[in-house]
Amino acid sequence: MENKTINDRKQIGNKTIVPFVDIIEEKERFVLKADMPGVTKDNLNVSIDNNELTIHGKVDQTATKNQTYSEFALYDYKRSFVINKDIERKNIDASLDNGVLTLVLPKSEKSKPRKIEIRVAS
Amino acid sequence: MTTNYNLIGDVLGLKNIVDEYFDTLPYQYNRVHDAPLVNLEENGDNVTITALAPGSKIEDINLELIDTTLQMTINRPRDYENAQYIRRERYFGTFSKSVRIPFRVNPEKINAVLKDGVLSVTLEKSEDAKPRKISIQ
Repeated sequence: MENKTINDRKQIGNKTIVPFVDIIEEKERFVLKADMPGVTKDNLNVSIDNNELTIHGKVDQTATKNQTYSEFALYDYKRSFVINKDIERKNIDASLDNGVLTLVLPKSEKSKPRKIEIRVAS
Repeated sequence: MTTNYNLIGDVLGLKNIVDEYFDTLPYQYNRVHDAPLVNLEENGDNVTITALAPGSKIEDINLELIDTTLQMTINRPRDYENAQYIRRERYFGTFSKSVRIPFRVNPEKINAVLKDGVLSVTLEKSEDAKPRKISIQ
């Protein structure tokens, strides 16, 4: 009898948590900021698959035996966002500064605000 | 043939399903952020205090040693003032915490490092607080 419980799932890969995220809309772009303390540039992966933008950061989870008091633990970060065609995907810029990931997502030409010229009716 | 139910395992499995649901909420969803979160690690004569400080620069952090108490003040300036937020989950402000070190500290050997948004301060026991062997004459 196969007795596969949910417990088995825990053993696959590291535990992940969802990072805090701010998204700001500007005139010509969106800015996404995610708090990911402990993540280095090499361990951070930002990918787009179809309409899903995924940020995935890995941290060193090796727990030290000598920890005598703990208020936080570092876990891998993972979060996905649905983006639509209004974003210029080729020009997405990502930077990591002091554990904060900043993604700049430029809006595509057609979704930028534009001024409508008014012509004088003759 | 009898079917063996793993009753305890199944119940614990349900607990994991519920736990996993809450894990997918943003990290520390309900926590009040008025103090930086710290971890404390003891290694013989050293103690290392780690604190989360994402988005703070070296000049935003103030560390003071008062007798045997390490006082940490981490300032986190808002990165956008008048922006149009679509989603707003991150926290800003000034966070401070005092940690009492269980021994006297050598003030010359305090090592503080800020890396990837994690601050770690290593303090060493002062020479006169270290145990010493007394020779009997």
